[in-house]
Amino acid sequence: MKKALSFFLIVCLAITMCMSSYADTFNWAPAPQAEEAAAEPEAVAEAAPEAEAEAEPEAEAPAATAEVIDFEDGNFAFLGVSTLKGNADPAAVLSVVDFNGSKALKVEAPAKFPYVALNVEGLLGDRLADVAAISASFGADSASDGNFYAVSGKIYTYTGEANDETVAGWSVYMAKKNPRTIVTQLPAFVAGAGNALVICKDDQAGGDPEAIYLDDIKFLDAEGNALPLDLSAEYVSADSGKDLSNLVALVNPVEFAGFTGIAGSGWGQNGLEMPEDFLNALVPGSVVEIEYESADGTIWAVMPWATAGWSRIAQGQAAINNSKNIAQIPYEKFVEVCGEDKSTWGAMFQCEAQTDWTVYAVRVGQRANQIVLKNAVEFPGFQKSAGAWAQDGLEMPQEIVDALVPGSVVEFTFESEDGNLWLVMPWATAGWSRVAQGSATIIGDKCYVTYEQIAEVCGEDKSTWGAMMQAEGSSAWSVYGVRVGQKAEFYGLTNLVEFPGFQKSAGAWAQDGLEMPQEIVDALVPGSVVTFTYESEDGNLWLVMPWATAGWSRVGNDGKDVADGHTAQVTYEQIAEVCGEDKTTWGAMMQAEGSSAWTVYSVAVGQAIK
Amino acid sequence: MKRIVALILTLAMVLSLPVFASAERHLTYGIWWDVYYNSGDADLSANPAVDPEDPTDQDVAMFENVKLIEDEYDVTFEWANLTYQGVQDSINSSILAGDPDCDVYTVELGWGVPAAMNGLATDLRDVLPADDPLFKGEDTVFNIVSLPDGSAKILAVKSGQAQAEATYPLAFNLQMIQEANLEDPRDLVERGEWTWDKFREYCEVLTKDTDGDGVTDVYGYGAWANDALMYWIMSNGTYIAATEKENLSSPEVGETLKFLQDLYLDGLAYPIPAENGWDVCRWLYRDKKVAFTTTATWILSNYDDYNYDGKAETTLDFDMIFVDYPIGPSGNAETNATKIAYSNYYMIPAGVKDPKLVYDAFRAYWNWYHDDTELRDELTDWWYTAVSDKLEIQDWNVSVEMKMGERETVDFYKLVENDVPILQFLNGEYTPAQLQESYKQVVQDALDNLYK
Repeated sequence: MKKALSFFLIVCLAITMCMSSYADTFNWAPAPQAEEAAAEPEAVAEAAPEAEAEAEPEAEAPAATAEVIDFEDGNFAFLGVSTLKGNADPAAVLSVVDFNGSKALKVEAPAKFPYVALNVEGLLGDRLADVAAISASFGADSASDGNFYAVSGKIYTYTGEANDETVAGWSVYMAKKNPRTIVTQLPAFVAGAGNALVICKDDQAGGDPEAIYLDDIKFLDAEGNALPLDLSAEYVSADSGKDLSNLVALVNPVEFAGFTGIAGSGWGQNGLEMPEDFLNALVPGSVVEIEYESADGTIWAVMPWATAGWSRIAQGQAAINNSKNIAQIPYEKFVEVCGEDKSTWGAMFQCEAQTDWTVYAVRVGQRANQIVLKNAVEFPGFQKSAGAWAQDGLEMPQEIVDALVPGSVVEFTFESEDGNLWLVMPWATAGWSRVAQGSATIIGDKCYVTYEQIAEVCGEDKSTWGAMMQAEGSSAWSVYGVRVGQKAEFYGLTNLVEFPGFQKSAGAWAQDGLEMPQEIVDALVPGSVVTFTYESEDGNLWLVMPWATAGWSRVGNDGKDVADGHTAQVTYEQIAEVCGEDKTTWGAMMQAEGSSAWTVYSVAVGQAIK
Repeated sequence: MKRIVALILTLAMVLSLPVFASAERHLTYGIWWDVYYNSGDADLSANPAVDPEDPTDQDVAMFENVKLIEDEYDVTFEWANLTYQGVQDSINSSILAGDPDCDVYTVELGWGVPAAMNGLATDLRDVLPADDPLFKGEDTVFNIVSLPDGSAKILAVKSGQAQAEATYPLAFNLQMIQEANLEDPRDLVERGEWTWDKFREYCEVLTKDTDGDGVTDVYGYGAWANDALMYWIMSNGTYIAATEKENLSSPEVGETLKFLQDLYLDGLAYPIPAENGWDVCRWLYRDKKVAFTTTATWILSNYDDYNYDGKAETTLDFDMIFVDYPIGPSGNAETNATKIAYSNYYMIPAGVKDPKLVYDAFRAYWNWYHDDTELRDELTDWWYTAVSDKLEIQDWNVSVEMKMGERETVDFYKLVENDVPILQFLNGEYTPAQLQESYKQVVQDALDNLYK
């Protein structure tokens, strides 16, 4: 018996030593939430409510009000994907799933970083001003290799009358502390000022991108009490308009009637015969625009009845915006495959993608580069409306007169029944003058009239133009704002090649970048354009080639830069002008630089649609 | 019988836990990038930056050192990438809760010092014997970052690379000095005669209008002020933001400001342009527009001055020689600090179990060279070939940088650098007293944020 007991003791010791050894050596095993809560002072308050929730699960029916967002009813309409920052992934996916024993919001962004915005005003209502902190449980998945990698991100708040930005960090830094309940103090919200709260993930210690989970979100008052929430609130994206990155503007677009909600599976084609007005508009200088959705962001056209044979058009070569929901195919891409004679292309127009796809709209129009106003000056108070053929306007303040110089452009943000607008200078020495009637560049809700167009009618000497500037249209019109600035143009870009890993930040007049991989070097050919997605304090950004044989070289800060604070483009020709025609002498390093602190979220090289 | 066995099992488990816990320990070093090597790394290829077929001596030594540490201290260890935010969160939550997640944390001074000052770090004076070489600056592996309360809570790793990097030596165009029949400043340093007054004399001789058009073509000195300012401050034996109380307002700093401003206002230093000043001033020496400059190895390598990589089509036709900064009236060549600390720093959290073991094992990790300081301080060829194309000058220039790195000090002036208008000051928009009075509170506020 003694021997048996000794044997048992030895075995037990051995087993427990091994267990202890494992636990001590690889202390990464997930620990129970209660332990995590005990280890983290800020989480203590969370332990009890969680235990209660397990004992008494909430009813499935949506609750109109609550003190905690626990996602148990599957509702998350009060939040949504945000593209607040340039590195935000517009294709981030939100869903409610089981995580850590309860429902949680799963946030996935395989490409870039996900941003999730909460409608705080709708959730908090008249208690918005009482918010002092937010408490939320943050969790992380394992990566595809099965390992946990630490993740972290930020909580952005926009508070006060001026929507001042405040940033706080969050992290889930160890598997044994996954998930973590984190309490973040917040500045004071102001109702009615458009204040906002956005949570993002922006760092991961390794592996493929992990999903994160949000749960048990509470808004706390100064005493730490959870405030009541109206869960029927709905999040409405503050992002205005379409994402036009990498795209050209369409002038006089013609819709492809009926091409709405047409879908296909991966590598499956579907489409319609082209209506006559669509076909008529498909001419040299035009571009076909496809609004779509596909799982991997791909889309292209198929002309199955072409005389040249069943033809894919612009597969992997379309201009596609960063949101990957609008693609553009220039007329020339059709010609490349189907030939010059449009009558041989066949009437059937189809779409196709690598993964399941849905197309919501197809249209064709003449292309125009998107116009950017540099150093723009607002025309204060220019909000006017009038009926057809009626004029209204204001006397120009001095800053507008000063901004009207050669190369400048007047931009109207407007709406009119027939889409037309132009400018009138009624007090010009040359006489009452209509400018750019029928020739103003109309792009969406913008109407552009250049300095040169005014000079052509009113004369070169702007002191003779008269002080009054008016708008006029051939139908009822409203102008919501007028700006004057130097005109610059963004190119639409096909065949976009991403520069992997180019996410950099630096202070004013500091450079940072990467050595160019071969695919970027290959993409840099005459007619190509380097495009940056970025932010900078003063809106400026340009390119630096520090290892060029010609010497350390800045490109694009000579007044020819095209940058609007979000996108900057530098052409191959601009680089060649500074560094020489032979790109083998440019050096392998490509950097960005700005005259104020800057952050570049992505860089790509594409071929300009000209 | 079952009950007896269960009882025995329970007892055995209870008894066995402390037996093992004291026998082996797993150490976690929190950081925000990937570091090699760790316990469990099978071979050299665990570090993706190492070619297992052609490893350096350091790679091999660092890999083999892991096993030696495990055997000697009965520990295993890992560098855990917590992300940058995660390191700070772990420090601020787990240490406060009395159960640190990690045994060592990598920190930046900007947030590591406040953490240490607020009791989140172990004071090594409570752990190591009072006569430990660490406290005399004689440890082979670590330096202590000096804190206002005299505690030893933040460590910097010694190495040749760490010593030489981020030094901004004074440098001169040797041929210009020779053509002006001036004595080599290195000889003046040797004799203890290299002073601010002497430097100004040299600048007066070297500043020239070479074509007689009334415009200065060569200045005695020219540099980017943000590179140079703290080195001139240190040459006068002083500092700006090294303690809890700001020192911008001190007479010694005032003395330095006046000396520098006089150089600029008297036309002996190249005027710093309002825009792109850094770009213009760092490379004035290349066009022979200045005789003396404040420079760095990376600055000389930027345009491949001496063809360090064999790709330059032309090289400079003159030699740039590094030399000590001249000594100001309140300075002392023997005791002046000569480098602003710039490195990775580490702290052992408060409340960690057996801090002596943690320190010893961590020190052993960094002592992969086993006290062979020559191996520790081995620099890559770039450090030499970037600064000259002549072997003798290469050795000299590197020796100056290494000497500068021996006496580094912590100064938080960088935190307010962009808030203090040094360029406008040098151009005469403020007197030294006006600058000191106007901006001393800016420095103090930054220090208060750090220490309180």
